[in-house]
Amino acid sequence: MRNWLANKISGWLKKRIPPAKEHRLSHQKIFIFPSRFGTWYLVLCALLFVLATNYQNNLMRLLCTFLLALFLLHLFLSYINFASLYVKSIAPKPMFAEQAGLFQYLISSKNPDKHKAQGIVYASWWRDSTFDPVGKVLDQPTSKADIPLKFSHRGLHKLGRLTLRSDYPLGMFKCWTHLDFEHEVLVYPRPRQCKISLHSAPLSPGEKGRTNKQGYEEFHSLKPFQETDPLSNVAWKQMAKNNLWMVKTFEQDSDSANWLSFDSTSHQNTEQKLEELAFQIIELTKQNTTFGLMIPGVSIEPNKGDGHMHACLKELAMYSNHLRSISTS
Amino acid sequence: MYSPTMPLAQHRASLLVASAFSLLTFSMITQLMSWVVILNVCCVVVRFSLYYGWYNAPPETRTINLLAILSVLALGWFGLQLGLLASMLNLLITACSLKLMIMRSQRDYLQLILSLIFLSGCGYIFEQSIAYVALYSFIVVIILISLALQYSSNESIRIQSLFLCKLCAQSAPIAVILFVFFPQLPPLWKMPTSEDGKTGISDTVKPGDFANLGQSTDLAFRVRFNSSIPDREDLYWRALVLEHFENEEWTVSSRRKAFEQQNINRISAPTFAPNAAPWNYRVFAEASRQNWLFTLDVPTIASETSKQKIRATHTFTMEAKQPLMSAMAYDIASSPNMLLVNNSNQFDTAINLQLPEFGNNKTREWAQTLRAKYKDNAAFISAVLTYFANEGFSYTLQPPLMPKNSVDTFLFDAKKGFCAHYASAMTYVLRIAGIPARMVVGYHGGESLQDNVVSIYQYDAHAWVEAWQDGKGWLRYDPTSVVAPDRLTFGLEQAVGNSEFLSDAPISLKHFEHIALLNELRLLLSSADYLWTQWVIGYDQKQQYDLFKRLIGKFSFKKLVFLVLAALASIAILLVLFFLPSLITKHHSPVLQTYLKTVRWLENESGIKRRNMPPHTFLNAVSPQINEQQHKYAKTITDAFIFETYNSNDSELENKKHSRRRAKKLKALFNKMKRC
Repeated sequence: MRNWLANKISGWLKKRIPPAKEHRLSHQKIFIFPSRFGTWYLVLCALLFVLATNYQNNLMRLLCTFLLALFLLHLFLSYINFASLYVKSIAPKPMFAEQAGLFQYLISSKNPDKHKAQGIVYASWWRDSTFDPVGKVLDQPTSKADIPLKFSHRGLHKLGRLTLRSDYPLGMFKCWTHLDFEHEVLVYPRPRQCKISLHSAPLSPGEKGRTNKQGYEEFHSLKPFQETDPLSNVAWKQMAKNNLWMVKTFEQDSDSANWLSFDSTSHQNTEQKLEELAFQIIELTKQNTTFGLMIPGVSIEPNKGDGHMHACLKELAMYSNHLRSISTS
Repeated sequence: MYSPTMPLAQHRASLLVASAFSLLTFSMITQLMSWVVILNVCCVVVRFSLYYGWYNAPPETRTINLLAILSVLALGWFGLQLGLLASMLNLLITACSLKLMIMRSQRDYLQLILSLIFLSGCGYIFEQSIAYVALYSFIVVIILISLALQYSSNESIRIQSLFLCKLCAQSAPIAVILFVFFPQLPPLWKMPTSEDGKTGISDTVKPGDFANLGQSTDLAFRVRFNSSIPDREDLYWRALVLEHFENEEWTVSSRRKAFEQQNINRISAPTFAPNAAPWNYRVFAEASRQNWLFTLDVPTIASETSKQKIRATHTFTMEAKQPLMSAMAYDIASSPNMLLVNNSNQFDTAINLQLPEFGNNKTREWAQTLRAKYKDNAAFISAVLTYFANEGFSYTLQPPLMPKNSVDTFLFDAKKGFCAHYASAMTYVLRIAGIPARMVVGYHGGESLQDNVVSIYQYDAHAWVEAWQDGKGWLRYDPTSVVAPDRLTFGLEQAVGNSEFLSDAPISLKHFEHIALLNELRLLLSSADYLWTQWVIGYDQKQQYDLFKRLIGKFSFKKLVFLVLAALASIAILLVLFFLPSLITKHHSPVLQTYLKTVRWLENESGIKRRNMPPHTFLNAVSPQINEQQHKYAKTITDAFIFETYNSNDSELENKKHSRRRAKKLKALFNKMKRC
């Protein structure tokens, strides 16, 4: 029942306040109602009226009507102020699951010459009370505000509706709106601490069982033989030609032993595997090491740097989606 | 519910609230216990030190809770003597003080704001003069400025004050419309009233103390007659009838009180039809915190509204159903020629012969001797009056003390006294002679403010005698009139002389009556106060009804609906006036305005439309059509426009003055260009 109602409301909101990257607040998008303080203020007025009637005291009545007139004017002032707002979103950056990220937006006046918006705008997520509302004082022509957000699961998430509320000028009315900014947030798996283990061979399903060492060594140079060198490395051809004992040295290919895959992880559960991979990716980027990612359906050539890290993390974030697309195709 | 915490240091809103609160407390200081005031001072000091950062943390909640328990105990202890209203007020002030001390979150703050607004309203229970209205309005505005500081982005108190003054000025006309049209209801239930602060005459009259009233220049009440003011000699404002004499003081008889209780609403109709047109008048009584009212003889209630608030008694006085906590207006019709006769007369004559068993022996002897000489009641009474007239009695505001056998002392030794002495002695003598007699206290005369308005002050307090005569009812005798006829024809000042009059109030404006300008000023203030009383404090159902009647003529439901609609419409029109300008007019910056004008002029001059041409392209396009000088001016304006639109940002705000000067210069250039 509750769900049904919630769906109805969000459907209605979607029609009333269609998603957009930026919003100019207007009567269609604004809700206005006496705040909790405003309600008590009205109770106070009623109390004063009763007291004035019982004491037959006209000055108290005059105070009461003055307070009511103020309340009425407040309604208009609140509305005009809130309706002059212009809110522009900034595309949210990717973030990690279960870690707070930031959503940033700009608030300014639609037409600063006509009306300069004032007051404090409180932002919160609609139907989500994880965080306390964040207030932003509108004291500049354009204010940059932010609000923390948090997702518990990785993936591509739709940004919820942002509730903006202002009680300007005297707190008796609250003006609010629920804005949908049409953004999607990429949420990476939460990094899970583990040992870094790089593999030298990418494991494709057909190549299972092959040892990692083979085919990876490449000839680099020759150096004079020393007693400790293994005989298998002696360059027999050279010795036959020049009668000099030379040893072949090999260099490991940078591409060859730097792959991350599900084998690099210790857990059985796919989600936990992804989380461990995320940790390793971040650590490796910090160490400035080159690595590649090979998980079912995805293969990213070894590389390094922040761009590479985000590319890899993105694949982790979207992992199940890939599988699904594979299974359906 | 989320409630943001508030900073403690440098938080102006809480500082303003603390200041408003201390002002409020000091305005009510007479109603408060001293420890409540001290507590308030403490918490304001705490707030100030938090503001200036001398002290970083508000007291612990536990400390405050302990204090609260102590305060409640103290209030419970003292509250019994204070009466309900005063203890409620003390409780509220205490609670607010404690709240102010621990105020941390916005929720605490808002609770405090509401309580303080309520307290400012309660202030009007005790004081209703224009000065206090100004004070309480000021306090409310400070509270609202504090709220504005809390909710707006601009921290400057000056800007918020200006904003709020504008807001208040806008609310005022709406408030007045609401005030005029809101239904005026009779009291819904009885409220606790305050015991102290009673003013004016009291129901216990000790002749010596009564003279103190003669020193007070406070207003007692005002009267507006529908016709002209009757003769001064007839203005005997009856307030109370005192029928019991004991311990040298006159009081309302307890038997009379019981009788009134039993026979409430059972007063007989007037015995004789009035044979002269009655005086119709409206009395605006000041808040005396007493029940009794002021009327001329013989009063009847003249309006339905007044009937809800006041009732008649068997002693031909009127009393309010509740003590007058605020000024009250009531309508009376008095028939001066009617006899004071009603269905309680048998009872009247029975209780009005009471005398203490002992004391004042000289008077008793003297009265009995006199009675032997004059068997006829009327003759006896005139003999007593003659005694007052011929035996060297004098009228004074500073009578000697007469602690024991006061009537003897007064009649035979001192021979000096205020009206209460004469009335008391005469009543006593008449009762000895077996003539039912009683003392009536009230006011006499008054100062005419307008052609039909009289102000009566406390120094107009007066006492006289009523004696019963078979067939004629209660007749008024005023011994003061034979001793000091000036008292009745000209007033107290003439009767006692300038040196005695108001000797306790040396700076009263009343003293300077002989200086024309000051007297003018005094009367002007008095008139303003009268208008205030008439239209604001005394505005009631009847006045509302009369006003409506004047607006729409004869009453009908349809017309009433129209009237209410008109009131709503006028509020709507006011709102439109306030808010429409900011909604429609497009305020282009002055530079842009000048540029647009220039473009229009150039378009007309050259016949080339700008449409969406960039400014410079347009200028080049029209340049062949205008002369060189004009081109130069147009270029300057165009450049200024481009600079303002594309280069200006925040710095523009800082030198507003500068940009205004530039705009002026551009306008001048535009005018020059047109002239070229």
